[in-house]
Amino acid sequence: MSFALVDYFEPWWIQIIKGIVLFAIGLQIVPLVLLAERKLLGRFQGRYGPNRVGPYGLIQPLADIVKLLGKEQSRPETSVGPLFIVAPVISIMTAVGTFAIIPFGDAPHIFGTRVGLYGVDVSIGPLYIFALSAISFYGLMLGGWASGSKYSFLGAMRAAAQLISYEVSQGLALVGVLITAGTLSLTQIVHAQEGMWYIVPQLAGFLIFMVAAFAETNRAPFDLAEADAELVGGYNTEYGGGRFASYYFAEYLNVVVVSGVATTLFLGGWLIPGWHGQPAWTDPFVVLFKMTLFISFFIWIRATLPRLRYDQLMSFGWKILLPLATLNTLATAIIVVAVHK
Amino acid sequence: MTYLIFFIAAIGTLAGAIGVIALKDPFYCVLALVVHLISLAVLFMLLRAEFVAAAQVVVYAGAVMVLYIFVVSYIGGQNLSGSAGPGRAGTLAAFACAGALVAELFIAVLGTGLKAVGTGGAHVAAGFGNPESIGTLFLTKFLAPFEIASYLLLLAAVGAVTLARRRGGLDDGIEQRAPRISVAEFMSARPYYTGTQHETLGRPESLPEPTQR
Amino acid sequence: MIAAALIHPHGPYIDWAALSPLVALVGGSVVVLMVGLLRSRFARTQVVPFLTLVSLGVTIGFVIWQWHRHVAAISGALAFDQLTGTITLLVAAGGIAATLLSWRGQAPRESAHGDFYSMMLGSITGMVVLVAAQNLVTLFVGLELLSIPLYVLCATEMHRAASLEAGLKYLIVGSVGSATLVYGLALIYGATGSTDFSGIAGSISQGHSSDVLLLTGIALLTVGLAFKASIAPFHQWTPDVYEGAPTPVTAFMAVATKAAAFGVLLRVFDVMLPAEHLNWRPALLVLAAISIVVGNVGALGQSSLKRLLGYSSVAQAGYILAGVAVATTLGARATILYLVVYLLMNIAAFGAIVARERMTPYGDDFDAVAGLGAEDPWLAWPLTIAMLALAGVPATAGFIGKFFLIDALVGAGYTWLAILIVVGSMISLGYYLRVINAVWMRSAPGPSASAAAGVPVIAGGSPEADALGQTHIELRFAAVVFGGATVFFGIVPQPLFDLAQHAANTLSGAL
Repeated sequence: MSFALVDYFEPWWIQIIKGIVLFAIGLQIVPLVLLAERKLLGRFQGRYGPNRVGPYGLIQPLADIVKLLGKEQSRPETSVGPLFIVAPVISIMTAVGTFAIIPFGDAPHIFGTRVGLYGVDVSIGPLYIFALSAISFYGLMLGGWASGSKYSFLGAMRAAAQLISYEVSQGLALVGVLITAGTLSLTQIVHAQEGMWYIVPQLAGFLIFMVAAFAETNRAPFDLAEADAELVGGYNTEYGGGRFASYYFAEYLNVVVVSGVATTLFLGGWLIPGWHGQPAWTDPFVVLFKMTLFISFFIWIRATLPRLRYDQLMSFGWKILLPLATLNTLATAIIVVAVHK
Repeated sequence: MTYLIFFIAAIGTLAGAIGVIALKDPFYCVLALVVHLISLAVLFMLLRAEFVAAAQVVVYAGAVMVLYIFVVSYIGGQNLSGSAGPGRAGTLAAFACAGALVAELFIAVLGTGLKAVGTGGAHVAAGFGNPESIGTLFLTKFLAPFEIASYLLLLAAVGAVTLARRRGGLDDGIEQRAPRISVAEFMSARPYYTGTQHETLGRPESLPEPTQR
Repeated sequence: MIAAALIHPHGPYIDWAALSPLVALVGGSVVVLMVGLLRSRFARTQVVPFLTLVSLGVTIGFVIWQWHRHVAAISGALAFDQLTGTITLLVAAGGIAATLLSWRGQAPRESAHGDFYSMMLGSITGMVVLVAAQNLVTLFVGLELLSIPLYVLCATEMHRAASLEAGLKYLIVGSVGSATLVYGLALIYGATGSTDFSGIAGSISQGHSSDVLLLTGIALLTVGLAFKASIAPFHQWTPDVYEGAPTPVTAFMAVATKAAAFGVLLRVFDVMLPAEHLNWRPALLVLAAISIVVGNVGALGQSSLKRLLGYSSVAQAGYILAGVAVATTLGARATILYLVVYLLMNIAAFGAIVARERMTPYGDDFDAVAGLGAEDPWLAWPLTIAMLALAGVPATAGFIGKFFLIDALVGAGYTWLAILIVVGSMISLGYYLRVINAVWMRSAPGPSASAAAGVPVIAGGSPEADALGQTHIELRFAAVVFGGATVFFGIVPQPLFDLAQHAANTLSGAL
């Protein structure tokens, strides 16, 4: 299979097990993130956060999920049935699909078989992420359009415009990393960071990537799509129950995925600086730890910054972030060529 | 497995293409086109052309069709039958021409043995079609078209700006100029009562008293 | 894994001297775009067209400097030989004329001068690339670079619905043409397994000839190029777009696009597909015949000069295509000769028409030129000469052009098409003489009529910016120079022979 740039063969059953394990991890992380967000937000705002369900409120996400799934699945009379149902599925599929390429480690031997600690190491790396992100647009857009409600529609329009506007800057910010690493494969990008994490030489790219990531995931301060003061609730206004839960899940999984991508591309993936004999079993935990840092950062920002106005968001994206990302790419390319000569 | 995916994607491609021309609502036409393009990307993937597949999705499904969706969902859904179509004879002639073209293409594609390529498919080296080899081709053999294409994009952008720009003096003045925001303005402090955090939370004693209206 | 050599590839050798005409065009277009952003009104309205002229002049200079070289530049993607050189000279001359015609016109003012001239230079670049292309990819990119700026240029008089309509119509029809062309290219690639012209020619001669896939590809390719060259029955956009577009743009489209389209037709059929000539020749001959009939008959009833010239250009395209279709060196020479002549006579005609559009309130109607002979002989004579030359009257360059086409056709045994050209020319007298009649025999419409007509419907519409009766020195200059050249080369055709011979010799190796 030439889709993955690997020099070893994985039996089909290992691929299936990997798929299940990754999905399970993703499924477990998201409730934890939900809980962490509510707890942290509480602390940031000088209150406790949820603390009634289970010890320290640890079972709260479970209660939320049960509540959401138990709710009635209603939909408006004006909605377009099939699209209304399919839209959250698209959202969740793309989020899970992106999760598949985040490397939690290299390819160690487990019980005598070489297993890559990732879903698949695609040779097109970041392009795969952008391809799925492009499809996730349809999840939002169809959801908002098919709801047949003006609030949903406006929310979807905002979300979608924001998504495609910031995707350009995000992609260009990554080009610097790709030029430096000379490969598109995510595991090889991690290996290329053995000397130095790319956050140092590519600091500008990192900052641009993070800003764009906030917009891509519709998180504060760029959560215009869900500006409840203007829009009731964004593209998922008309959704309830399990379908709303899908959107919700996809949204948080996207945060996790973006954290994973940032970890891989800028924070050296599973690498710990200065430790060369790092055993393979630590790799996933290192990656998860670094991802936790990013996730906490996302929550911190949400608690700190107010929401932008929509025209500010757009002019910031196109007039500041995009030129900066282009400059970063250009400068990196020139430096790389000069150094290689 | 490969055959299964091929037939699913092929059906998606054809159904999408037919949907584009057969559906009435422009929004669904655009969606059909999206289905078509994504199925096409799957076919590229089966041909081991993953870069082309990803580029197909990113560029077409992710950028071009997004603009279509925007336009259609803002202004679509209205009855667009403003002008009378061609007459019955014209329609028949159009169908006849299209049918002849389809027949010709079928003859062409089925009638040739793809002699130059062979039935086993082209013999390509390992790594053919991956990003490295495509990039190499762009910078060596196809350097000229690649550079010219970038110039073409520049001119297309100039053309788009030319057509879409607001003009002073030539329009009838009904359209108000949208408020602009400059970079300096964006980076500077907000005026009061625009909902900044500084205004809501920080140092209320430094805020002036709101003036009575 | 991919070899390290792939990761650090060596770029191809770039022959900057051979590329210099292209560099002058691209550089000129970028400079013009930037200068067009200046605040100074003088810089925008005067410096920008001047720089455009400079860029085109430098291009011509570079072509002449590189005249005797025959270079396959940038990995063989572009061939800078004498065919490319000749067509570059033609389109650059067309560009200079269009710049003069639009210098004080309405279209650049409405679309911003920098953008207008930058797009025009870009389109010229596309024409050069198209003719120089040596593989299918470059061919398509060149075609798009030619077309996309033109679509916008057609729509640059935005206050006029007809101009916008022309732009949209050209865009839609042109896109259909491009799509057809690219489908054809894909089929040709599928049939021959190569994207290079030489590779395709080699594959055909090695026994892939008369493959149905290849033939279908050639058919679709022909249709795609026929859209660009406005060959009937793919000409339907031509009259509408010619009429609606700003007149300087119409002039540019008429001469430069046609030169590029026929340049590439020569290149494609005589370099890439000569081995298939038994299959494509009948098709091209029939297309030429249809064009001659449709164009000449269609032009008869027109009351708009631009529309008339639109149909006339369809007929002329038929004549020129006949030269391509015979597929001999003589035919190629006649084609190129006719392209030069066509440029001269059309610019002379359009120069006079643009001037009258700005002077009178009648736009491009026949009324605009009525009584021109008595009123303004410096415009009347070029227009008259142009019309006579288009009809092929002896002692004009048009006669020389037709003569050589007929010679080539008869020499190749296609006397029937030669007769058709003569018959077409006779029909064409019916409408060209109407123009001459209006110029010399009719008297100018009374002042009451012009007062009633109010604001003119066409370019130069705002009287305060573009006073009626202004001298329009640059328009007169263009009309007189090109009209004079039409007569001069009608009497002393030798320089044109030499030029066409040089260009055709490039192809003779393949024929």
